[in-house]
Amino acid sequence: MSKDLEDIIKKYSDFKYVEARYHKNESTSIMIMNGQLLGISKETYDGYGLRAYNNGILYFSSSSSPDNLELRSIDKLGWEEIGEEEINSGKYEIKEKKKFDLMPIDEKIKFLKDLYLNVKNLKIDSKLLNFNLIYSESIEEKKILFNDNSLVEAYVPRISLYYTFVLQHMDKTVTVWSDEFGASGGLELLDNWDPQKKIEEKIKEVDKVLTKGKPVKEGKTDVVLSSMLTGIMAHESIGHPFEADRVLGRESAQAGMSYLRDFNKKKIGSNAVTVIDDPTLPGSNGIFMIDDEGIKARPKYLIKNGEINELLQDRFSAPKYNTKSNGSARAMSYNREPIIRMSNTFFLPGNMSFEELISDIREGVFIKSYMEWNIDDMRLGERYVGLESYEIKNGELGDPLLFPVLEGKTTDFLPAVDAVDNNLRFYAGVCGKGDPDQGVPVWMGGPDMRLRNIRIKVM
Amino acid sequence: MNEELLSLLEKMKGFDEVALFKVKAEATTIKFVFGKVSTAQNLDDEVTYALVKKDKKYLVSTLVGKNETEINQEILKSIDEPQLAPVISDNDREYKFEKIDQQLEKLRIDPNSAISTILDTSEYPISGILNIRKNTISLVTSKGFNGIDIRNSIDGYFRAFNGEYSGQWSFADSKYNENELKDTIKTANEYASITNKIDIDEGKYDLVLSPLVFGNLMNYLASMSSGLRILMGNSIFAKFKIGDKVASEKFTFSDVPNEDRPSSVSFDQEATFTRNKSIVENGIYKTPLLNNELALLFNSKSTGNAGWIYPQSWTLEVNEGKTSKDSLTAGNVILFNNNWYTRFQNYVEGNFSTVGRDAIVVYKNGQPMGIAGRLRIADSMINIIKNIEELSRQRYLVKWWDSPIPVLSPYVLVKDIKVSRA
Repeated sequence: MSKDLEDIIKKYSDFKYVEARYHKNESTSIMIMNGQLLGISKETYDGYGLRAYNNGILYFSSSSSPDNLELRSIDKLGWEEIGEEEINSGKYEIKEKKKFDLMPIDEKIKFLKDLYLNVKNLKIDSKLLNFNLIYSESIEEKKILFNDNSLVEAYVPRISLYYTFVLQHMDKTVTVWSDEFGASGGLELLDNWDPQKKIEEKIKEVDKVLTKGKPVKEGKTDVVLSSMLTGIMAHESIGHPFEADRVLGRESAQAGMSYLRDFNKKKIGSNAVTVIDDPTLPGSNGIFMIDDEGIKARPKYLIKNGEINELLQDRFSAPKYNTKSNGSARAMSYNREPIIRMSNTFFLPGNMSFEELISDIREGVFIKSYMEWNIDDMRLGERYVGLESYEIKNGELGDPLLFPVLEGKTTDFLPAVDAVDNNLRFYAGVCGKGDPDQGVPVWMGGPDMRLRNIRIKVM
Repeated sequence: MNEELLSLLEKMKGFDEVALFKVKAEATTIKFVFGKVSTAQNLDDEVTYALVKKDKKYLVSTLVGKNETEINQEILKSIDEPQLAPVISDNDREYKFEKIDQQLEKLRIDPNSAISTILDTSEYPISGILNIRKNTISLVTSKGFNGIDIRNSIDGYFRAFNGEYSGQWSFADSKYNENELKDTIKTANEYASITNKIDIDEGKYDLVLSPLVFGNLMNYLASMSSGLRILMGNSIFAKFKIGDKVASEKFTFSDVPNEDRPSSVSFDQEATFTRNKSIVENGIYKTPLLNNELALLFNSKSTGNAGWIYPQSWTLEVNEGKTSKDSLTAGNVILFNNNWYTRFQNYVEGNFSTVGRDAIVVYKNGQPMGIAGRLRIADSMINIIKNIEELSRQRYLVKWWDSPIPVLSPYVLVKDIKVSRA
């Protein structure tokens, strides 16, 4: 394989910049539907990706065979620029404490079936119509050679456990999904996550909302968002619009642009708002130590104490900002070009407890989980429909609420944050971007966060 | 034909049934950013998938190494019987379909002339993507099927920027027609040329959804039509029986793999020949999308949409209406040129919201008054298809980033739909 990469680099030595990548993604997935095995799939995708730059155009070719790589010349004005960064050699490997094969596949199936059996026997007032599980274990390996002979090597194992369920009570149904369980590592993650306990808690809580939830009062109020909501907010309304390629417009017809194109101030949020994208977090889903362009990974403070600090940059966006790449380029697989991606994006926690966070709220709403979110392509207008939600009364959590809707602008929400607590939690996700599209593993997270005087709507 | 796969099949002993499915996807992809070329990609991907069965136990895997057969046998020994298992059709035919547009093949090798057409046609800076593809799909089964399906196609979508205003359009075809490419750019430009901002309050409105928007929604409806999705409780069809009225009688929605269109295919992964079928016909729910094993559960026959595990749609269409696009906008309506981030909060009820993108044109008494700010459609899929008032005669085959399965769709007038301000 190393010889193949060397040959590729040699063949395209006329280009100003060349990278040749061997990339392998191997995964096994088990699907369980209502306690029964639905299917097992075992997939391996591997091959070569070649990227080269000349005269403003990035050329990319991929194939399972290095002999089929080919760059076809385009005789037009190019949009891209390239920076003069140092390329780093290096190797990183995430170790599994318990290798995947320490647990035979039949035991894994039994583990998942038992999850369902225990869930089915839960005493709840609503009816569990469906409960589906997808367990997946994967290994990502890559070797990237550059035209200055730098070499990057990586090995990352990951596990994820995804579930959906439908609860019905009288004429109301809710469909619930989860992205709680996804990280890098081995089977030890299943022990650490304790999915049985967490799924049971979730079902009981959603059942309580469905059977006892009160209608929401529309109007302005104090709102506390849990880490699940602050996580999606960090990812969607800060991480994405802080991708330099989106601000520049490279994604304008695809995943859209960014409100930062028209935002001329440095201050975007309150002093309580600090948002970080950190690929180096141990055990994280979005972990990498050197990016796919040979730039060393480091935490990036996108917003620091409410002020815009830096964008996510790669080798090709950085020169347009007269800066250097901060190591944000990643490709999902051999047949995708590296582009600017988030890794693990989160609001920095504070010092206070959750109890302190809600203690001075006379009337408010706590949204613990959501069933819908969406956001416009500039990442400005966002909407969340609460699933597990509670009223806050005189500094304490009260009755469950039926599906409050939070809809507003990023640039209104961030200044309204006046405090965050110390409960930093992460959620796993797959972030989509690019065309041909790419889904890369990420974490998103944050503490619980208090926003003052925000409008809550009814569905 | 498929000698390599047949030879592999021969070597895979010890199973009751085997199917080998190979996809070879060759594509030239050009990405445009504000009137310039950003990337030129040449993708050549080949993957072989194997389905092996013993009794009712089965495994789906990609074929990569020499020891796969032994590994797969070990896995099958250790697992218990699944609830559902793929059933390979009793189809022992040798079948070949090949339709290659030579002009498209030339463009795939050298796309420079199409790039010039795009850049020369646009009045405004244009961003977007052009894909020229050649797909070869092969399937051999232990029941004797030996099939190959070879086609090429072109598709693209473009977003034109007129300062703070923008317009977007898309196309897909199985042959090259330069005028179609030009018309796509011109339509994106036309939408971008509508200016004058108008404030719209939250409330219920009559909406005209362009083929881009309706195509996006139909991608979600097609996904919810999958028999497995219905079984898993993640579909609006979970509440309905075949024959139920689920939509306006003007609404007919079909999966049409036998038309000459991008993503069409002659046979599915279980070796069932594909056929065109209505999912909803004149408002009546006709069929979910089924493979052999789900057909047994639904007391029906395969619709030719396997997916070894998950039945899938191939290429979609919505029947045309009886009026012109201009008639749809003759009253007081809001036309959505494009949308973005459709997200469901409840797949059983079909509640969703989606954000308008590009030109959201406000019509008063049939006259375009200007562009609404950022609006979100926040209603249910059921309401959308039930409240269809009329559809345009003219249809457009669209495929874009958020509508990956091509849809031939008219403009659609939908009454009383909830709109909120983003």
